[in-house]
Amino acid sequence: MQEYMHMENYRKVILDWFASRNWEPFPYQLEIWEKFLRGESGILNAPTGSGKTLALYVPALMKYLRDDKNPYKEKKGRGLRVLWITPLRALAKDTEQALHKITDELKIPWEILRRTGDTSQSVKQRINRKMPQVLITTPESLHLFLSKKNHDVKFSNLDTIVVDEWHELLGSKRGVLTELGLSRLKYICPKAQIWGISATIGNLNQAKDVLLGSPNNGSIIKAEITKKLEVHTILPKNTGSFSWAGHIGISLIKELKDIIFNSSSTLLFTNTRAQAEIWYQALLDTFPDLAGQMALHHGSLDSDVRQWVEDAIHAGSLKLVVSTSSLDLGVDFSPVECVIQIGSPKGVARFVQRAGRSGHKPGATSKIYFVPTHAMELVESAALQDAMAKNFIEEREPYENPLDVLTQYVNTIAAGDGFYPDELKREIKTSYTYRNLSDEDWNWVLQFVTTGGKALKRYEDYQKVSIDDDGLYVMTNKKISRRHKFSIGTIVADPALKVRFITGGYVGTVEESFIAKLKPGDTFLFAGRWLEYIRLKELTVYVRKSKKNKGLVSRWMGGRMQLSTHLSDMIRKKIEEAERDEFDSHEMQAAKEMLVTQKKWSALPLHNQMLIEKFKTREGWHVYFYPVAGRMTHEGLASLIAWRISQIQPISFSMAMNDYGFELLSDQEPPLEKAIELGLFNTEHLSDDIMSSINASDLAKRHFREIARIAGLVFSGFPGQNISNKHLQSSSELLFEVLQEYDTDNRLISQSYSEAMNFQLDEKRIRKTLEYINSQEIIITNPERMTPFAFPIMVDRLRARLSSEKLADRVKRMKESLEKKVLVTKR
Amino acid sequence: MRHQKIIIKEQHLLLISEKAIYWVEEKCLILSDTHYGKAGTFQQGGIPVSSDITYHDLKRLEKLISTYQPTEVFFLGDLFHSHENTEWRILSDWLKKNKNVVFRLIPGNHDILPKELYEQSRLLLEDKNYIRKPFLFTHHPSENIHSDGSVFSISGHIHPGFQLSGLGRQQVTLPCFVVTENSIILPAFGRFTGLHRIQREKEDIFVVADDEVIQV
Repeated sequence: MQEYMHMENYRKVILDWFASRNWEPFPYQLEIWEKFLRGESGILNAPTGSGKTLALYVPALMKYLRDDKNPYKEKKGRGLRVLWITPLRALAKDTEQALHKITDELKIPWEILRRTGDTSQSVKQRINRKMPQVLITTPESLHLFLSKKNHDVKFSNLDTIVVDEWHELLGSKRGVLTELGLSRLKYICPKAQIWGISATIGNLNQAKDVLLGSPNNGSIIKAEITKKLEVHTILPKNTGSFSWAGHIGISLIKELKDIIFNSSSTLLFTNTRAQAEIWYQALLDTFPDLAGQMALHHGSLDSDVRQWVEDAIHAGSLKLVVSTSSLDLGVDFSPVECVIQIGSPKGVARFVQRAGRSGHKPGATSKIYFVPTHAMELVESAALQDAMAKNFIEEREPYENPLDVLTQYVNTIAAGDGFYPDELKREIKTSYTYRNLSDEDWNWVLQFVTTGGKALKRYEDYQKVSIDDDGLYVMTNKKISRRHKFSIGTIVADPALKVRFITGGYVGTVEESFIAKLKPGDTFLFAGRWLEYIRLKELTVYVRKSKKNKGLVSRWMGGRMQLSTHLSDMIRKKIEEAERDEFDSHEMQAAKEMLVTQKKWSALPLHNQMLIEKFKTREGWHVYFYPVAGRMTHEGLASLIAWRISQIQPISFSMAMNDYGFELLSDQEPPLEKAIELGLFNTEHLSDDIMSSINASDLAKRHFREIARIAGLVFSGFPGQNISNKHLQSSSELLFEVLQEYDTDNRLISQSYSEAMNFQLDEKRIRKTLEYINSQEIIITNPERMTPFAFPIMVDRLRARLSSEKLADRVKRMKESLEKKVLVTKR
Repeated sequence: MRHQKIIIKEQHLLLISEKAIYWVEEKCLILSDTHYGKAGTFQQGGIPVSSDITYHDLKRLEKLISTYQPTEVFFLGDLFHSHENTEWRILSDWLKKNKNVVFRLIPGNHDILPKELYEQSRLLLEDKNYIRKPFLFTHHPSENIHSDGSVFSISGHIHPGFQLSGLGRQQVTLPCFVVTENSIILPAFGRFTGLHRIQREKEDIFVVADDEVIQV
């Protein structure tokens, strides 16, 4: 009591407010307040629903109450004090409400506004005229501020910057955008404190360094709020009946009845949009009672529909929502009582995050039900739970030095006040991503935005950024600057076709490759409805509701997750346990029959062994490798291994892979033993060999699509008025080709190649896997038939083929399959 | 550079891998959708694409001229990509240099320069429907003229590309000549042009792969 009497008023006010609601600050909140009041920056590691918003907003208020002479008086010129950066618009709305509540109740005369992509024009103008005291915004909208003249004045009073869901931004180019924005703000208002809020990830320390720039002396504060988490795996009544392959998992649908009907609200996660469509339909067929209480949510649906679903979950008016990763993030869904995961989540972090969508109320337990879709996923489930028990959690790797985002940023600053290169470079280099920015890269970016490229290369009509007599770099052309502001950001939408009802009404988007398979009159499943395809006109697919309920399910490319490194380690351990006849959980018991069969027909590799199976069928010679390193890594490895074998003797392979291993299939016996002797798994010349073994330029082209859009080479047009820019339109593929041909040292092209190497092929992980294989004993078995491990790889649809032929030869070969005669006249 | 010979209305047409046609009887070189100046337009819009493309495309044309020795060149539209820029001067200088050849422009939707510029150059600006018997030359493939079957039209505009697929998800889309009973559509000549994927119905398709023309 004594203490309380002598407490400074700014603390008392806050504690009184807590007391008035019968709350008590958590110890971690008190800790962060003290650090904050001392002027420190850092990272708060806290899950959603743990009071993280108050943990960081309250000290900003305390600081204001402490330092302002007359804090309760309305006064002009206080300017912006708190900047709250959030990755999601939906989250911005929630945050605004939370901050409003405490601010108003404490009678602090602060204005709180939100500036995101969907803020109304009038509010935008109001903010432009006069900054509120608290601004909630996205990384993209922050950059829009920076593209305006005199933006430094707007931020000069800023003393608190909070970046919410930092783990989500980290490891994406939006994170880089955030870093660059902060590098500018740190320069404008050096005293501002920066705090990030992050869920648990494996590299929290690095997350802090990326946020604050290095070196820094920020701290990490962990909210010691352990949420209880229950994992249940759904097992079939007869465990021997588990299929060895498959990915839909519908066969277990009846087992979900009690779970769904006994909980007030359930989220069901699938791994792909197509799977979500199928499950939604199957649930409706199996439990007709759910009609009207169930909804579908995925990234290709109309955003109004998605918003409606999110609101309905929030309000607790839906019994079941079938969703993809589109609901991984976002607003607080307190009414959700339990979560069902269909198929492997492929990573510990994702599983924990999804589980955390339930049991949001303080003290509640998060419940997640795992529905395996085939026998190996039982092992995966057991491994997942072991990893969780050991607190293994994946890392999020940040981008290093992406020049596309840097190019965009340089243009952004040039569009506003302009810059002097040395000054701007100094600012940029305080960020983690660009801490090692080389002079060559920097000069290339400067040259790229001012002259277009090397002087000899003829860019006579080029104009973007010009240098005035003073040496200031500015964007003077109004049209170009307007166009730039419209393209700020790093989110690149997939080129997709809109789906509309012929009677009007927007449904969502599908991919062109899917529609290409349909004929008018065909029926397909989309947005939980059977639709009849009528026609395609100007990038819009016209449909009507179909009376039939059979047809194709919409499919979307990409988005396949691969097994995380942590999880693959745990899986290898589980397989070793099975070899030693240890089956310690329900899941392993259920998988026992499959594992024992594998052992009988071939082998179960120990942790220090890698298994290779080689056998012949009518299809040809099969060789299966099981490094358990994840699908994408296997894709790269398979090409590499195939290429290396083909260097010994001419041979072509077709390839297939999943998360556990890959298959090489050929019509002649591959010299496997000889290849291993000659160093099949060597790490020497790895990069060169990878480059020779895959069609690198096709992969790079795919990455260039995003890079070109971010660096401002492809302009998608102003909303609703594309026509005036028609002559500036070009596909990124075409640009990639001409730049590669006519601007040989274009660093955005090299960036595409290195992104393809690092992210698509993940050269690092391939290298690590090879090193690991080299430390292992290799066992080769010759099973008499397809083993349980081999079977799912064989049925995998994805088949690629190693090809080193010249284009014309490839064309001829493809043509042969079209069965027509060649007639080439030579001159 | 190689070609495929086809005979239409007793005329010999060589479909050349440089994406042009040589008409043997009339000594005409026919090409479409060159889109010269597109790099410059992009530069003006703040997208640095080198004008080397235009130089290179002119070199390709030079090589065609020296190989086939035509007396006339027909441009079937979209000769110049957009408004005037530095590359127009490069193009008109080049036309001046090649005095022994008559250049005819059958205009397309991109040919929007002021008339004087065409008149000052060595180009002969023709009607959008230019007839040289037995062929009709246009930019847009025009459907209604075909109905009576008496006219054979040669055009461009579409930038046709044909997708071939092979085993194991191999796919490649290549520029192509599209030949029907009464028409030919040329692939776009310009390097800085995209492809529009076409679906085959009854047409004969000749794709350009490296330096070969292959009927598929």
